[in-house]
This record gives sequence, C-alpha cells and structure tokens, in this order.
Amino acid sequence: MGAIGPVEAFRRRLEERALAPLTRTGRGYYLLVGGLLLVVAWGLYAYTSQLREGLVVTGMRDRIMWGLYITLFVLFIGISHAGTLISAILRVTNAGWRAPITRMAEFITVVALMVGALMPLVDLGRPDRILNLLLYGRWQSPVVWDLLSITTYLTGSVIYLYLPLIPDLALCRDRLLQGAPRWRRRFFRVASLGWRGTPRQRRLLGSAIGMMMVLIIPVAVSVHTVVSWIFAMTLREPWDNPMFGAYFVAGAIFSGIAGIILLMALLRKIYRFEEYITARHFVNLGYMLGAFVLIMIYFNVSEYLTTGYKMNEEVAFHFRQLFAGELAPLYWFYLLGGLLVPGLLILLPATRSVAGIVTAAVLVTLGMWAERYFIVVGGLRVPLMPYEAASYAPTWVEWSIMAGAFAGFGLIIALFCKLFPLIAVWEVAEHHEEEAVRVPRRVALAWAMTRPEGPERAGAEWPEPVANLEDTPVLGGGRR
Amino acid sequence: MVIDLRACDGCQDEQAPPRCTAACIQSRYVPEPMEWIECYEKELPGGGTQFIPTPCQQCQNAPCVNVCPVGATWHTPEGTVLIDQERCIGCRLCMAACPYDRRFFNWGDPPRPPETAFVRYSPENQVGAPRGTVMKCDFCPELARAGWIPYCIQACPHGALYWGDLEEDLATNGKEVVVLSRFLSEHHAYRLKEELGTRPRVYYVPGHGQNAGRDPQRRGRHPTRWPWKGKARRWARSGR
Amino acid sequence: MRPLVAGSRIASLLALATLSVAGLAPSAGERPETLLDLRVPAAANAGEELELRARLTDAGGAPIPGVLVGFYSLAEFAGVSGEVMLGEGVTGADGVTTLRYVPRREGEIMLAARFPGSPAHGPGRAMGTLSVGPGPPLYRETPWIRVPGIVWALVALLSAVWATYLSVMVLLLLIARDGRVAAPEEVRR
Repeated sequence: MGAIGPVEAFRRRLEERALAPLTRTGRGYYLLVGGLLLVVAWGLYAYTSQLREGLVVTGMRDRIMWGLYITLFVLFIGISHAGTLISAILRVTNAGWRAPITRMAEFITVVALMVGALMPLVDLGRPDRILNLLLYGRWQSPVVWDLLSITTYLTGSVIYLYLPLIPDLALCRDRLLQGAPRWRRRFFRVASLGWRGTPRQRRLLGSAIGMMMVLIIPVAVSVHTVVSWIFAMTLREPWDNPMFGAYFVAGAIFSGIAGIILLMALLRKIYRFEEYITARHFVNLGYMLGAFVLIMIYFNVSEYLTTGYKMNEEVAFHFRQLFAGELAPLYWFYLLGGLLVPGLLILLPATRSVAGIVTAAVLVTLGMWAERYFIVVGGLRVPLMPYEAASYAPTWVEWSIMAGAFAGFGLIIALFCKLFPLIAVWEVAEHHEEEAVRVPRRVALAWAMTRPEGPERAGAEWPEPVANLEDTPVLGGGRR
Repeated sequence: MVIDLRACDGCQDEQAPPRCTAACIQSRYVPEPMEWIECYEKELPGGGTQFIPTPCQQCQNAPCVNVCPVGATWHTPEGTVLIDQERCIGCRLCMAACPYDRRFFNWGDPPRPPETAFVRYSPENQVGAPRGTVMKCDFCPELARAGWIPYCIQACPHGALYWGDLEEDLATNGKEVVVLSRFLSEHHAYRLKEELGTRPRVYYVPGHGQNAGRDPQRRGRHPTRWPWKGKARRWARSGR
Repeated sequence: MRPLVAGSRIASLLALATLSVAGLAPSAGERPETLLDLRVPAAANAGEELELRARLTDAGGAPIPGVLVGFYSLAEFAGVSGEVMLGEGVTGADGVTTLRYVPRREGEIMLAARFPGSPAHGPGRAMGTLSVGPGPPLYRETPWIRVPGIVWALVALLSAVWATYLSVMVLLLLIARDGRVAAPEEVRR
C-alpha cells in the first residue's frame, strides 16, 4: 500500500462514513421505523373508515369542499421542490459546496412527490374510478394537467436521483462484500449498471446528468405552477389571481429549502456527517431561505396591496377572515412565525448558527403549512352567494391521515437511508480533489495578505485549508 | 328559465318553506342538505331584503364543464348541464369552479325514501347516484321532454318562475305564455354575476316580491325541510 | 311598471278609457267606430324577418295618428296556451304602424292587432294567419374560446420532455454496455 496521500485519506474516511448507515443499524433505527409504521398504520386505518363511510367522516362539506388533504397535497408538492430544483440549480451554477447535500435534497423530492401525489387520491370521492382519468381524461381540465405534470416530474426526479447514484452504487457493490445479505449485493450489482468508471462511462454519465439538470428546472417550475392553476382557474376571489403560479413556485422552493435544512440537520446528527455537512452548508442554505423570505413578503405585499386598494366585497371578507377573523391565528403565525422570525434569525449574525437556521427551517415549514391551509380553506370560505360563511375543521380522520402522511414520508426516507449512500461520495471526493489543487494557492494568497505568519502555513496539509474554508460563509464560494 | 323577483316573496305568505325548493326535494328526492333550487335572502340597497330563488344557472360557458377532468358533466343539445354520476370521480373541482355554489356532493350515501326502490338511475334522474359524486339541478329533463314544466315552476304559488325556450322564444310560468326576448328586455332582466362571462341561462327580473304584496322590511323565510328524511332513514336501517 | 298579462293590460286600458270617456261622452259605445286593417304576408319560413303592418282609420277612412296599437299571436308552450304580445307601435300620420316579426316555429300562426280605444275613438281589432314553413335552427350557442392547435402544443411539449428522459435511458444503456466490455485493468471507481 505504501503511504496514503491526504486526498486518499479523506476519500477513505468519507467512504466509511457515507457507507456506515448501510452496514450498521442500531436499535434506535428499528424503534424509529416501528414508530413510524404504527403511525402509518393508524393513518391507513383512518382511511379505511373513510372508504367505508365516505367522505362524510371528514370535516368537508358542500361549501368548503376541500380541506386538509388538498392543503397537504400543495405542501408536499411544494417541499418536493427542495430537491431537484435546488440541487439542479446548484449543479447548473456549479456551486461546489452542494456536493454533500444534493443526494438528500433529491431524496426529499422523490419521497415528497410520492406522498404528495397520494393526497388527491385520498381526497377523491370515488377512488375506485381513478382509471376514468385515463379512459376519459380531458386536456382542458387542470386535474389532468396536474396528473401529467406530476407524473412527468416524478419520473424526471427519479431519473435525476438515480444518475448520480450510479457511481456510489458501484462503490457499494465493491465495498459491501462481506456481511451484506445476498439480495442487497445483488441489488447493488444490478443497480450500478456495471459501472467501472471508464472514461467513456464518465463522459456518458456526465452528459446524462447535464441533460437532466437543465431539463428538471423548467419541469419543476411548471409542476407547482400547474398545482396553483387548480385554484387559479376558478372564479373565486382570492384564487382568481394571475400571480398565483409564481407565488406557489416561490412558496414551494421556500418550503423545500426548509425541508432540506431539516433533513440535513437530522441525518448529520444521527450519522455524524459533521465533517462533510458543515456550518457553511447551513449558512448558505440559510441565505437562500432568507432570500425567499423577502420574495414571499414581496408577493404578500403585491397581492394584498393590489386587491386591498380596490377592496371589493369578497376581498373585504377575505381580509377580515385573514387578519381578524377565523383564519387570523394561522395568518399571523405565517406572517410573523413563518416569515419575519426566520428572516431575523438569518439576518442577525448572533443567530446565524446551525441551531438558529434549523429553528428558522422548522418555523418556515410550520408557517408554510399554515399558508397552504389558509389559501385552500380561506379561498373556499369567501361566500359566493348571499349566505353566511361556512366553517371547516378537520376531523380525526383527516388529522390521522395527515399524521400518516408525514410518518410515511419519514418512513420512506428511513428506508432509503439503508439502501443508498446519503452522501454523494464520488461528487464530494471529486470536489475535494479539485479543491486540493485549487484552494491552497488561493488560501495562501489570502493568508499572505491578511496574516503576517500566513506564508508558512500556506503549505499545510490538505484537510486543513478545507476546514478553514468551511468557516468562511461565502455563498457558492467553492469554485469561484 | 326566468325568475321574476317581483313576484317572489320567499313563500312568506304561505307560512311554509319556499314551495319551489320543497317541490324539488319532494319530487326529485334531493338528499339533505342539498337544495338544488335555494331561496337566498339578499339585502336591498334601500334597506329590507329580496328573495332570490337560485337553481343551477345552466351556464353556456359553464366553468364546471370546462374543468371536469373526465367529461362527467356536459352540455346537452337543449343547453342544460347534466352530470354522469357513473363516471364522476369525485374530485370536486367543478364545485370549486362554480361561481354560484350550485353543486352538491354526496359526502355519504345519499338518503332515499322507499318509494324510489324501483327508480332507475340515469343522468336525467339522479336518484340512486352513488356516494362520492356530485349532484345538482338539471331542469327536470324528463318532464321537459314530455312537454311539461319543471316541478319548482309548477309549485310556485305566485307564478314567479318561467320556463322558456330560446329556440321558440317563448316562456311560461304555467299560467300564461310570454315572448321570452320581449319579456326579458321589457323588464330589464339580468343574470347573476353577468360580468364573469359564464353566460347563464337563468334570467332574473329585479324586484322584492311587490307583485305578491310583500313588504321588503319583512325578513326571514321558513327553513327548508326534507319531509321524507325519516322514512329514508327507517328504510336504510331496515337494510335496503 | 307594466302589468304582465296581455289580456289584463287590455282590460285595464279599456277600463281607463271607459273611465275617461265617461267624463266626456254619455257612454263609451257612442265613440266613433274605428277600422283596423292588419296586413300579414301569406307565407314565410321560420327565422325569416317579416313586417306586420296595421293601419288604423276611422269609419270615414281618415287615418288616426299617434295612438298605440298592439300586435299579438296565439301561442302554445309547455302545455300552456294563450295570447302573447309581440310588440306595440305608434301610428304615424298615415295611421300605419309596423312591427318587425320573426316567426320561430313551423305551422299556422294566428296573428292579431288591437287598438284598445281612446277617448275620441272606439276600439278596433284585426286578425290574420301566417303559414310558416321550416327554417334553420334559430338559437345557436356562441362558442367560447378555442385556440387551434393548443392540444398539439401541449403534446409536443410533453413529448419533448419524455423524449429527453428516453435519451437519458439510452445513455444509461450505453453505460451498462460499456461496463460489460470494460477490461478489468481499466477498473477505476
């Protein structure tokens, strides 16, 4: 073997860390999966009672005919934008720091889409007739647009998740020889497509990823736009809004970033990825979150100022229910807890820490749930005819199915953790190798200018400059 | 359909729920709490109220038809909008799209009285539509084909509801015949939410029941009842 | 506000006339007689625009200008039949008033013109029949927006996306083939 270079040492450490979740499974994992399974089973039980009795077991009625299910649909499809969109944008812009987090982001996308796409099915009055959508589908209907765009997006994001996985699956195939059950070795052998890392294979994979990362961005944007059109294609006051597509896409990316931050924090803690997922990743994503806080505030101001200036009767009702009426707690929580406080947490240097940013992400996720809820329910509450506004409160069935949906989301992620490496090993290693060549020169230069003792340290071992670099929260700093 | 609000007093004089709604529920077995034709009470600009019986507006540019993903709701050649409850998947987008709130959902199994036991379901006779599907006023197509006027119009004690035909340009409230186009222009008829461009086929003549002798300051109407409800429940319990 | 029923309108107008006449003359019956002449085309097709022409004169044949003459037809709809007012017109200096009329249904149509009477003249009445031949459907739905080719644009867009997915799949196949033929010494993760 001989002496191991620092780059090689980093790589070995990385492989070990990244593959550890696949080989070692603690009791905590089984407890977690068991707990999640219980909640999912409870949600399924609630769903069977809905199948038995009909939607009468929910809180929905004729005037407010959509509720928690559609809220969750919008929320999950929104969170799904985390992954693909963000990892694709970072890949397209060649932001090197993305490498350790893209895999998790792409996981979230696929899982959130799978869970989110189920919600309209749960909401259907006749789930047994779902095939009618294929038999009698009409191009003119927003539901069909949704069906098309979501299946297209799900397929695309599965491909986009799979492509960068291939070299890592090959790594698993080569490394997890002993101890792994046979089905799993077989799975890795088949799934890695005979990846040997030949120059031709690398070139082919590179162009495949290149095509997908460019394509997936418009697809992702179109999906949430189409989701918003379910609402915007109606003649109801707060929904009948040309801005809705853009507003939904912004909200989707916003909640998606929060989703990545949460998953990143959890997995980093559980699997001790601190060396790869550093404070810098949190701060960079925090900045993106902060930017979207501003965008969301901008959208809110645009909407409420333009409609409120004219204040037609329906808008007046909507404003009253939002600012002071039945939906006011949710609205103010969204505005203060979901936008303002996270914005401040990111703005103030004192709270711009991992803990602060994770808190912001939790608040944003809850705030976006509230936002989706008052968009759906608030839009339906505005009376269309001269009658008293109806009220809606989800029943235990709806809450149980919501709990089941979130548990299912966690469960699939937990299962993925045992099937695929959570960190894109080859991308991180590649990035590290590039940095190893590039950074010392830059770091040396920087130190020479800032510190008198700089030049001596310039020749330090590789891992150190990288560690130092992590302390400098430069957005997209890696390769610039 | 033309609804002459000058003649509609919300059946205050009758000391009963609006006859149109009651006849609809009785004859078409409309499940509780649906009111395919519903008598809304609306504030007048000068104080007091008016009653607005509101059936499905049978829009020519119907938002519900436009958004249906499976073509389960469509325009008939006569111009009414029907629903095929054997195709409807229950997504309720049509209900969200309807700006008049005239679509209803079978949240549970719709109750039906025993006398409907031999009624066969068809989109023109919605008795027997399964749960999880959408229902609404259909202008009683079976009556119309037989040359009759819908139950609600037959039942109106003040002749406030007119049944018309745009092809023949005639309308009747069961008592007299009028030339539809002339009647509409002469009495300044309007359509609900005309600015939305849905082009409803239901017209309203403005008024507050003055032709029926109603004082606009007298508010309130009798609440709607579903008289066969108990029978339906007993029949369901006995295991239909 | 006008009364709804054509018949009651006539009745009330007559009553009004009777009342006002009563002040001037000993009795309504003593008002001079009027002659009303209704000209109707003998035959037409449904949907064709016709002109109904009524001429009102006194017994001596002198035209009566400036009075209201009503046009009516006998109609049957949804089991209800009755006289419906088609329109009204004011007579000109020649005692003539016309009404544009479009018959809507095939068959024989009974038409009538009526002058309810005035303080100076007694009522007049004239009848006519029109036989209407078949015509095209008169009521047409106005179509809403149709954008030609929009479905094909959607299909093209979707196919482009799915074609890209397909080409990525082809690249994967190429990768898999390369994995099989790669020599072992080339192996590099």
